[in-house]
Amino acid sequence: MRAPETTNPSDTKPAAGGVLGRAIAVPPIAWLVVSTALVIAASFGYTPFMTPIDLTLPEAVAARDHLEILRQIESGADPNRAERVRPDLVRPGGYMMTPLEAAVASGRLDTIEFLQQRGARVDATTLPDLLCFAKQQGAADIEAYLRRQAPADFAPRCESVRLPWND
Amino acid sequence: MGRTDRPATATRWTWMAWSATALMAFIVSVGVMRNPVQVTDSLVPMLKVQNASTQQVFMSKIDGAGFLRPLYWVQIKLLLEGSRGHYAVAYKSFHVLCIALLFFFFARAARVRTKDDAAAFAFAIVVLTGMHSFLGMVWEGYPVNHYLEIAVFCVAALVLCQSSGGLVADILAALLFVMASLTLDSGLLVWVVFVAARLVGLRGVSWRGVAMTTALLAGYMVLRFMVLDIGSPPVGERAVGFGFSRIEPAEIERRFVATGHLYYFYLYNVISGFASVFLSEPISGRWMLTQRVINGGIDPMVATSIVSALVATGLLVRFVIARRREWAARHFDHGDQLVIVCVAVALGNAAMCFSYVKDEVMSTAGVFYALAVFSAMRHALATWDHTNRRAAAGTALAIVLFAGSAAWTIRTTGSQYQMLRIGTVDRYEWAHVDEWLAGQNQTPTTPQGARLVQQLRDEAMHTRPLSLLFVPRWAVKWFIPE
Repeated sequence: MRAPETTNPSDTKPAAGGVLGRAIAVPPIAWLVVSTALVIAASFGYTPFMTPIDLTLPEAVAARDHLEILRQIESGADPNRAERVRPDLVRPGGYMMTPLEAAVASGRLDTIEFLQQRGARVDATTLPDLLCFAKQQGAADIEAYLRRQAPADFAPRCESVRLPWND
Repeated sequence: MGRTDRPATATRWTWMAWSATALMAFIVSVGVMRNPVQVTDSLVPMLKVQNASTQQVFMSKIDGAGFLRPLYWVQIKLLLEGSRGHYAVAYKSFHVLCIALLFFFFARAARVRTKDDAAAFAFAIVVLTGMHSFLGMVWEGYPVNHYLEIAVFCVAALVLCQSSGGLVADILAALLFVMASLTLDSGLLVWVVFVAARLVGLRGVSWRGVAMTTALLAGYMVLRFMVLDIGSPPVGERAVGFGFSRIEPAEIERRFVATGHLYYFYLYNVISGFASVFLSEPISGRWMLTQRVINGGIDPMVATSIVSALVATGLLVRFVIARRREWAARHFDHGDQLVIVCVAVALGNAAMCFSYVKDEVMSTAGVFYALAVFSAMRHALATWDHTNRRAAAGTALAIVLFAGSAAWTIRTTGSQYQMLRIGTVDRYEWAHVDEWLAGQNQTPTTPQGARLVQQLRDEAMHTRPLSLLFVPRWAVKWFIPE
């Protein structure tokens, strides 16, 4: 079922589609070409801007990707182990951090709670460092949260605590 | 201008337009497939229909308060049953099918034949995908995106009106109306398309077909308001955009319901809905970009929104002025028909937003706007390319058009970014799905329900999200709103 079509001005004369036509067509066509190339490249593993496939647990923490945290922990990852965090995720440089340290460094209280519920230890061995990191970061909510888990007279000496980063 | 008939044969420009359409549909679909099925608005509907028969689902949803959407629920049920446990694949595939149909009917309605058509179509396709309302059709599933379905039904209705007609076309028109109106309230827009198209000389659906759909519309109204007593969508159930801010239900009650000024609120919503199509503002009733301009915050997003809307709607205004004499004489060509049907759909769509204005609801008007812009651009090219003017004026015109096209292209990129970014939010929700369900009093009580949640969560785990940490800061500024 196709109806005969009526004219529009472009039908009544040879379609020049000159400079003006090119001016409007170039951006969309360039976009289509680049986007198609990116989609094809993605099928070969090149996915710029997407979360990398080799994300460590502390990096998933920095990206606040709770489902990835869950996936790695359910697959056997140790929520207390220090691993690589690549540059610019939480600090300008790349460092080794535990997931809890990465959570403090990125100022994510909800992630700290999430990790704790899934086996990350906040105890006498980790609490002083975490508290001092939070203080140094100016993360008052995290500091308050951690303080609630410490004895009332707990007062860590932050000057002797070594930060996991130096920038 | 006379109404010279021409054979509807495809040219190489037609095939180039189809190629661009296919590529765009493919790119959008890849974005849709990358994201998981979301928790909010998707999981609960799936759990609700899981243990009921299709007939029970239809009957129980035919008298919902304020809404009449039984086919939407039936589709959720049928896809759930047909998925054989591959839930995400089933729902996402259906979503992709709807996207393919939307682009197919869009290109079919445009009828690209010449080089000017092809250039205007390249512009129109980024207007379609760059519209803020387009995002509502692709970034969530619900788990069946009924807004997208309504847009497909409406553009299909337009294509039917462009056909050579006959009894089959009239029967198809009636079927389209029934399916659209029982899927979502805004499905009534299909009737607006039939009437507007007929009035501007599109004869694919005859007056007999229009009478049939009008009778069905009357039947719908009787069923909705008298038999089932469903009424209109409730006012003040959710926070809405108003002016420069969002107002909560209690505020709506205090300012409009208690003072008896509810009609001002309705009027604001209708005007906002209509304006949002042509000005890209307000967004869900809120004049965010204007507010940022007033506050001196002309960031790249604001600039691209302003430039894109000015160029596209400016072309439409120019088109209306250029064609006013032909319209007064009731001579409508293909371009006129697209523009007038667009205005009718935008008005109808805006009227349906009277109780609350939302970009998703206006998405059908957004699709017709892109078609209207196609006509206006084609007309402008055909006129300007053959006009003698000074070189400087020609260069300035080319720069303005290029800026408009580039701005819509940037908005299209922004839509893609935002679509992928919602996947990050969806993944976060899946990590907390048990707490969320408990908070909604929707924790599954059957083993099948628990399995459904577990399966969907596992499927979500295997998606890879866009992370803002891996997006350059300049891109965030250009493509992602605050």
